[in-house]
Amino acid sequence: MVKFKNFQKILLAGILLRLFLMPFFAHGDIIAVHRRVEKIVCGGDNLLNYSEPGVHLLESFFAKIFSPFIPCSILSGLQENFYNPLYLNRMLFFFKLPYLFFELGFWWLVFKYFQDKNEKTKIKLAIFLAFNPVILYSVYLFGRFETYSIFLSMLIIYLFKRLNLSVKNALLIALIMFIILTIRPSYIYIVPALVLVFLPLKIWGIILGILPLLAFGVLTFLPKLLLSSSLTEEQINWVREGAHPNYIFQAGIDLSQERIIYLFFLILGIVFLWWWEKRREFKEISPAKIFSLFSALILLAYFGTSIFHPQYLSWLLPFFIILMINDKNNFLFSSFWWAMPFYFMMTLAWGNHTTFGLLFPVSTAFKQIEPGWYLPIFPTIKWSNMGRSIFSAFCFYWIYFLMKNIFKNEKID
Amino acid sequence: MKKLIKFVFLFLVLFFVFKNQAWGLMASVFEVEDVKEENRPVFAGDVWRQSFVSPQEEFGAVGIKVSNNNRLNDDFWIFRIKEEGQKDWYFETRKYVTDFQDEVFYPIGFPKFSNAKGKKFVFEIESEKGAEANQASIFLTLEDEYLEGEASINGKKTKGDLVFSIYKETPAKELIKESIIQKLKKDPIFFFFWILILIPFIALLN
Repeated sequence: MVKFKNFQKILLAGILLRLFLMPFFAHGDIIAVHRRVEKIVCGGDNLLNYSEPGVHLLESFFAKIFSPFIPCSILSGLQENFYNPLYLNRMLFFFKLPYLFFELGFWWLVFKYFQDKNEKTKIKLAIFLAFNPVILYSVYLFGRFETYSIFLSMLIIYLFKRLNLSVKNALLIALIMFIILTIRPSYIYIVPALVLVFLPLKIWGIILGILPLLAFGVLTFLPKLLLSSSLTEEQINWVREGAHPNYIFQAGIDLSQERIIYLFFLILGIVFLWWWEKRREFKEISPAKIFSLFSALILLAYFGTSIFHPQYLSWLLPFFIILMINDKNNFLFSSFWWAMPFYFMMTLAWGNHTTFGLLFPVSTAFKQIEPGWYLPIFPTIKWSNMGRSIFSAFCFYWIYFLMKNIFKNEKID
Repeated sequence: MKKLIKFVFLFLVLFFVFKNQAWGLMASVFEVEDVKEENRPVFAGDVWRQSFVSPQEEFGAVGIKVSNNNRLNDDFWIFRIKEEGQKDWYFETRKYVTDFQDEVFYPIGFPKFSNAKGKKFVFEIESEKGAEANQASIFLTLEDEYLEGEASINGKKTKGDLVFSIYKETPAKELIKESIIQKLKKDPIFFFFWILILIPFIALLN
């Protein structure tokens, strides 16, 4: 009989919880993605006809693998009935199974990274990974594919630890970053963190740092070159005018006459100046930690100043884990749990879609229930905004805390 | 491990505190939806009316598909409902449209109607200060597909019907239980294998 250690038992409990949740919760987005997958796998549509080709490639690949369990005859049900197709629970289970595999890969990399840590630290890690409300909510309740990019960003951190910083290795890491961009283009925000780590490679460092961006640009223009598709124009217009890319311009100090100080860029400016002041001291810090630190600072600035969608917060986790285990006074670990109620209050802003509606795979009656029914005194949006304000305070304080303490904590790499 | 036990304990306490709260979920009785529909802004003074025949003995809420048009609107809607032919309104309430989401059913509850099956009812929506760039919307079907009632605006019959649902209250436990049983019956093979996958994990934890 295999004897499991305590931290392994916690991880097993986490897997069990995920397997239990998988068939019964979803947001409409997972259905929308798999409608496109059905057109690619069963209808023969070209992958390049869709934006975010990386995610469509992965989802289509897994749909092929699981086709004995969800053949096209079942998958096509999604085109006919969005919220209540036949075999919905089975489909959700298999749609989310790759997310679980990638998350297990993420866990494996985290424990490989911290393999020399004591049992107590491993238990702390296991609790954070197995019962992380952000992951459970984003991936297993919401049903989003965030574990693909989380795994790959942890892979970059791990490679920074294991490999020397050379041009060849930097090329490999740039390639992984490019793959992440094809899955979640918003990771573009953390490309500057990559450039900062590559800086010791001088001109090659800068070229390789921006290489993922260039490659992603080429990929964006491929549909136009190969298929004469209008997708390229659509994507460019989306970046210019779409809601998501413009989130970073939404919080600001209005100076009148359309002059605005954007808070996101204000914080980025402060972070850059701080790096410039301390740049020599960073030579003492490992590339993995520098990458984690600056990625976390940029993402926290983004979460603190924009109406990001709740599942995006999961992008922070690989970077946060590296910094959290390195935090001697345990503040990051403990405050993360305190931030959670405010994070979930924030999700009320989307009403049914991010609350009761996630239970539509159990019964479509849940699509009709609004959280506002149960909230006293204030309208739903005010409750949400209260949560958002406090959550932003957490983000800003974490930025301050990381900048203040990064050189004080013990070197772990 | 102690922290984990504390966390699980706290979760269980919260679960049992809230499990008997007002989770009277409204199971939809019928809906006028899944048809072509258009967004119709509701301006100050507009009175939209819809009649319908109850297919159920009792119901306690009407859900109206609304849109906030992706902004915060500063307006109130007055909602009224009565059995058709009655002189006085059975129930009237005022709703702040800031609570509306985009393209979702906004439910409005009232003391339930009993012995309602086959009877005709009518509800009204009136905007207090809806104006250009400050108005929420209802949805109107493009065709008259609902034959047991009709829609009107300011007393004039209009083509199509308001997109709405009526609900009867069903205890959450009952609703979930019924739904899960239905799901199990629809795809027993999957649920059998799903349980088979869970069992080894449960065994390993013991």
